[in-house]
Amino acid sequence: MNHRLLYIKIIAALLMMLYFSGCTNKVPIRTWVPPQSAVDNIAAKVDYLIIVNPHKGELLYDIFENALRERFTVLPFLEVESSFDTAEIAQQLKNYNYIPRLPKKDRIAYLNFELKENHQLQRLQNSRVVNLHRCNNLIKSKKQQRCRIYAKETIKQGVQNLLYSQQVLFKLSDVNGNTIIAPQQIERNYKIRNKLIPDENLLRKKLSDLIAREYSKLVLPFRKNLEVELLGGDGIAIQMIEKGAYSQAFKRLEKLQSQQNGAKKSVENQYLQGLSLEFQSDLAGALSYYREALLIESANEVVQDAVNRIKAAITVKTKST
Amino acid sequence: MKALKTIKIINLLLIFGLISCTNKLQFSTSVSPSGELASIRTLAIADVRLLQSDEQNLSDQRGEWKVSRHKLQTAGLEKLIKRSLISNLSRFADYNIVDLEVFSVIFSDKLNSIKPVSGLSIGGIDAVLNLNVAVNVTTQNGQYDSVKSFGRRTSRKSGKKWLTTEDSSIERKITEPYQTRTASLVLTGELLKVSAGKIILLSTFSETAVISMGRGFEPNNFSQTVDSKFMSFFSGDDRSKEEKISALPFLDLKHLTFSGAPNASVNLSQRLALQISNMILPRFARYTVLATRTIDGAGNEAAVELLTQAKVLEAKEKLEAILSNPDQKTAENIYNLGICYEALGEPRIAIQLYEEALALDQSNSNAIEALGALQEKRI
Repeated sequence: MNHRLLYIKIIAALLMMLYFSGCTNKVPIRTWVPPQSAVDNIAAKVDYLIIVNPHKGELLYDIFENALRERFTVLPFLEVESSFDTAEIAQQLKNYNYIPRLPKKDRIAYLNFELKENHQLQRLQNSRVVNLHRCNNLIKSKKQQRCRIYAKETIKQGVQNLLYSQQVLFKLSDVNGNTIIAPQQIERNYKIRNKLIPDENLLRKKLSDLIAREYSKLVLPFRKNLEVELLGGDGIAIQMIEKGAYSQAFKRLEKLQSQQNGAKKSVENQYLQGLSLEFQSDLAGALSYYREALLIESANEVVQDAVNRIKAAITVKTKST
Repeated sequence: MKALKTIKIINLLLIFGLISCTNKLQFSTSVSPSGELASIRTLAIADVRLLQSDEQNLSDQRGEWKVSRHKLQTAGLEKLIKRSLISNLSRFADYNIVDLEVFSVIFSDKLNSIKPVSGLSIGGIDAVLNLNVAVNVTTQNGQYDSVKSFGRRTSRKSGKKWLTTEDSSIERKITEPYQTRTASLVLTGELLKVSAGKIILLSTFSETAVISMGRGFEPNNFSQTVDSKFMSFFSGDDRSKEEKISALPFLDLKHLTFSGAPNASVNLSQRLALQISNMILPRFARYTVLATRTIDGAGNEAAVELLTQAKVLEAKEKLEAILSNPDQKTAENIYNLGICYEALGEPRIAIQLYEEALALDQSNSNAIEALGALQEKRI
């Protein structure tokens, strides 16, 4: 009985801890972060990317090429060449008031890739024993309520044991064939054991997307999910930020801060104003508010983090525009 | 103890009841596709290429596997996909859709002011869409053995102990068949923007789908005949240009739908074409989603009642009449009017009203919620 009481106390304490830790207001935000190695960041070196498919027409290579193209076109740093022949499309468009104009491309990069896939599929015979039970649920006493094994079943069926892996070697070079960044190699695996296995093309697509995403993160800035603290400040403004009504939150805070009439502005509200602008992608505006908050309280770590975060994002975004 | 349990259950039911008693209004609202399509007035479908069309047969004979692979007969499938896509996009997208190939052939001389659909003129092409499709049909069938052993054990009580009097079992071998047929679809597409003499890759996208074919599907029955009517536009047609335009092939197309039991035999080509259209439509055309807003019960009773009954238009008229009286201009009534406008497809007016409600009552959580949802497109 004492043990039970102790357990209840521990659980209650844990629940209280969870409750209070959850009380710190945090909101998710997506912000730009530079790639792991600043040296490998190609955003400042390349304007136009040509993805070179060494085996055009082979589905595996076409799927991977598309995964790369899809990933790089989502990011706002480079212009990517289409996989379709633009000269052919220009010819078709000739009748639609289209007069081709050759665009001037300055810094062109060629992305070469060598791809290896390993598709190990073992088709096995699987036997499994299943116990079938019969229970007498009408007997009320717990001790007597036993289930007695009365039959066993052995199932023999085919099972597919699949190990699929992709290994890709990336080489990025300029027009003259000079290496822009050192070759990179990425390998990923997928394992499954089941009676039915996913289709080969779907597996290829899944791993191709994964590897393309990882490679783009090595060479270009990417967006990362962060959780930022809301500090204290005006409760309604916090509620507005949490619910996504950023412009209303900013207006409310602006009004509150202007009502201070020369009194010291609140660091929390100043920070919240910056945050509501950051959510609306106004990075420069957000930085100015964060800096003002630091002038009020220079040692505030949350605001310092925000300034560092926004500085990194501004560097990345300046390049993209 | 039992009474305590009953009280707990009643409490839970009460809490649930209170939560579910909050009146909500659900309505469908249209969501625009991505912003990059906003400037497009005419989209041309250029190429639909079939990269792969294979069928794989996996035969599982009691754990022994036999695998065979062959090409599917896919004559006409590319054209069917293209026609289905043009048909569906023309119906749902906000801009003109043209088939680049057909338009080039028919109207190669003067394309400056063609008016093909609803009097909209095509001055030039703003964007080109190209698609690649790979189809892989996997049929897996076979049978597995199941050995079931049935036992019987009887016992008799001797004093305080139980003695086994019979312990016997028999085994029975059962063979059970199984069968699955699925078509996997990998679709990749590229949207190219045509502007100021330049062709720029705007976006690349990809989609995958697995279509369960059920029983009764015949894998070889794949070919399509789509060209008889379609091709008459290319040659031997003496009609005037206007007549040709009014009878352009994509205007005749019907939205393809299928009915019947899921296991009924269906035409795979049509199912694939429809699936591809459905995969692409949300990227290029407006689509509707269900939005939910909380009705503010503190507002005018009659209007709240009308909103609860989803009589949005009547509630709107009622609220507008009420709000003409300055005494009734409460945050709750203004917010409820905002919901009416949002449900009637006027999100801009709704935003203004939500902001007005918020100006009167800064802590109005319903207005904050609605504004946040609209601004973040959470709906």
